Amino acid sequence: MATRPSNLTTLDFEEIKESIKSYLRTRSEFTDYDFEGSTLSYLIDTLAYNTYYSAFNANLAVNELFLPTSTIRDNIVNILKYFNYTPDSISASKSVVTLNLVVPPLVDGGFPNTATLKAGSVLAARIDNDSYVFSIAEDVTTFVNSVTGSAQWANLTVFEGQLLNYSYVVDKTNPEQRFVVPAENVDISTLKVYVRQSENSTIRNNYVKAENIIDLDEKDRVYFIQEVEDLRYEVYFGDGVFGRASIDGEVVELYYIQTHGPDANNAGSFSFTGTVIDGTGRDITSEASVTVISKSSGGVQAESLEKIKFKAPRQFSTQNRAVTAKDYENIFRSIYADTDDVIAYGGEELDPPQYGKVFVAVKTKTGLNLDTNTKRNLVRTLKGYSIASIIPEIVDAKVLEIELRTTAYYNINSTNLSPNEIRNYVTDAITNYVNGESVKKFDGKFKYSKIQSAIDNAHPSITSNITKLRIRKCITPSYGIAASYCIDFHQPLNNECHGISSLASSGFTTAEYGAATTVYMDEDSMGNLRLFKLEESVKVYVSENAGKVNYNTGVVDINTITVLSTTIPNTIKISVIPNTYDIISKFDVYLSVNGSECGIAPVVNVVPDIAGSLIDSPTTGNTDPSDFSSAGGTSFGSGTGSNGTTSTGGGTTGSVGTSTGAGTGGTLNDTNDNLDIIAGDDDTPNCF
Amino acid sequence: MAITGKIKDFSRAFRDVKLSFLKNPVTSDITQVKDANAIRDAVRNIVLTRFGERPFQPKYGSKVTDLLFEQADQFLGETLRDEIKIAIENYEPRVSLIRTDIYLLEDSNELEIEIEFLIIGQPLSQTVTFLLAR
Repeated sequence: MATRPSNLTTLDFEEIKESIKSYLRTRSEFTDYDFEGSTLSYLIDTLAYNTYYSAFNANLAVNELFLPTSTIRDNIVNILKYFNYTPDSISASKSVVTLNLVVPPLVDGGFPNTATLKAGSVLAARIDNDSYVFSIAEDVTTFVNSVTGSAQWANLTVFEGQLLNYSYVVDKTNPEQRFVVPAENVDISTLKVYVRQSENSTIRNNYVKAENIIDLDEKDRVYFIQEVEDLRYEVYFGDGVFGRASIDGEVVELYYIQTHGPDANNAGSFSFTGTVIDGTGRDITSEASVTVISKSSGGVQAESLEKIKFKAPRQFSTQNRAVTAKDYENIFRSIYADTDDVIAYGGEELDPPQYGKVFVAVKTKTGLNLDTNTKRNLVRTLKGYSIASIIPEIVDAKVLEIELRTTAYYNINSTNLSPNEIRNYVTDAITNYVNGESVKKFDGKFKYSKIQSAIDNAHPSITSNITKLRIRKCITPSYGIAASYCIDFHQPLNNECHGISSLASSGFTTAEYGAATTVYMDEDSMGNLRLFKLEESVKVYVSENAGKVNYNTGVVDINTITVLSTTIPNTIKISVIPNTYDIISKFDVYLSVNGSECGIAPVVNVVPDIAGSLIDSPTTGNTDPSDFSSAGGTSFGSGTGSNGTTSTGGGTTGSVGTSTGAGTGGTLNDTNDNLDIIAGDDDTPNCF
Repeated sequence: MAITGKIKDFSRAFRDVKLSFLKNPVTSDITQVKDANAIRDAVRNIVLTRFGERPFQPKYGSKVTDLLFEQADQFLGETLRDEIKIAIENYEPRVSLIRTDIYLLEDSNELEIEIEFLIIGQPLSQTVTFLLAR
């Protein structure tokens, strides 16, 4: 019995062709199918091509039906309509400001009762030579002080972008009519929808966005929104049962802000460009003063396909209810687009426990902490999803920086690469590990053996490495205010330094020890935090009991102290040696390597692996880490030389800058890693 | 496995479809070509197919058709001869090429190509002649 071509759904042309030939082999009519020049071969090719094309089309079409395999945004968005999921649009960067303006007196010498800041452009800012406009979507009215004539718009949130509007007249005779926001790069969260009864009507009704049909009736003035083609958004109204239906002849007005997204983040200086009218209708031309409460942040691009595929099923699984901690995380991602990473945990897990609370820790894409207003708004939104007795609380991520210092040994006989090139390999390997899936995140895990292995495998010529690490946190002191500070490293700390401190800090001045005396912190291995100053590069302790160090819990308590100034602007950096080199984060701790202003780039030295070669070998370009003291507190340099010589390796180290302490960079005596003080400038390596 | 039927002896003759797809007036079926005729058609097919014409076989064919618009000199003749030789050697294992003659018919802007080859296993040589018009 003749077999039939059986492999016609494959996506390989040759397989289809072979399948047809197999069939012809069972027939006697034609025999030349194996010879490429034969007419039969031409026919087989055409047939196979056609079959291949059909199979490919079928495959493509079926793939586009399912979320994990679809690739075309319009198809993905359509699939997600089953989940009631609308992808996030581009988000405008937002800034919170307070505007103050003095309204000129009226003819009778009094002042109007109110002043209104009109919707539209309010502020202008420049970032990297580009100009950006910040707008509001609605008029904001405030009272005018009847004595001074001053008007204040406090904590006003402005959105980067231009306010645009578009109107549609409802035409029920046109079944194809759609109310599409006719612009790209629109932050859809700024959309305002108004409906007027007719084109002549001046009264308009505000419509609010509905997420679902729960509690809706035929009178509710709500609109729904969905993404349509080309990243545009369509507004549609209720059907007369769930939400009020639109009526023929009504005018739908759409107001929205077209934005540049993340490009406008971090603007901190604004000039006023807004329009103000007072309660009598006068244009107020005097310029408002602008006080920036928070720099612009939160601008992000529209949700990418990868993000949509990740988020939509998870959000669907929460069913719009925040019950488990994961629900909070998923809902938070959907309500705040600038989320880089988020973790939620119950207050009962904390020590001491805080029952009835759910903490949501967030790391933003911009790296900035959320301002109070944003947190308040987000908590209000989260409450809409949470169980009644649970209070959500949003906290900023506490970034725990890991300081890495590695010396990689390499076999000079097995490579022609220069030390700098090998250093680049090592740096890349470290970067790859750090940026991998397991480290930079909440619940992150930094595994010491993995980083060592990554460095060893960075290049075949590398024979071994010695890698040491510290963990670091930064605190922002309250200047001029007597305050105590508590720094939690969340890891057990090393206290086996036998009299040599395993804690170091950057410098600061205090009211207690004089504004002219820069003091630093260390600890005595007995759990006492000490303060010392430097006199001719020698530590002189000013306090032996400035706080406590709990080595088991990793908590450092600083007793009440009045900080006046800091050597590093607005920051005191504190580094400690952890008890184990595996660093694990939990709760709101976010692991990072040089991922914030507090961090420091990994320090990489490369050394030929030959007998007698030590860490600071003649290899040029090696650097000492800026924040790792190398002299055990005994040899703070006295010179100003920028290339300290080593006594152990016989060569020179790389750039050695000046310190912020009393001494300046000088002789490097050994390569211990004991900590003394943290230098002011992380980018300029120092040694003491 | 039990043998359930007679094993049929297939003929080793070459049988192909006629490229013209004309109907056989006797059988009303598609016209078949056999043996030397089938191979002659195959040789002509290979030479006249342009690169990229066959799906998923970009290297199948020859440059002969494309070369028609090159300058007509002795180099063209050599190039055509090489192309034909390479194409036949690569894609028609049933023949051994003997000779390729190329005549330039200037009056009619045509090239006449005559290919003589030996079908392997047969004593007599075969000739294919075709005209290429600009």
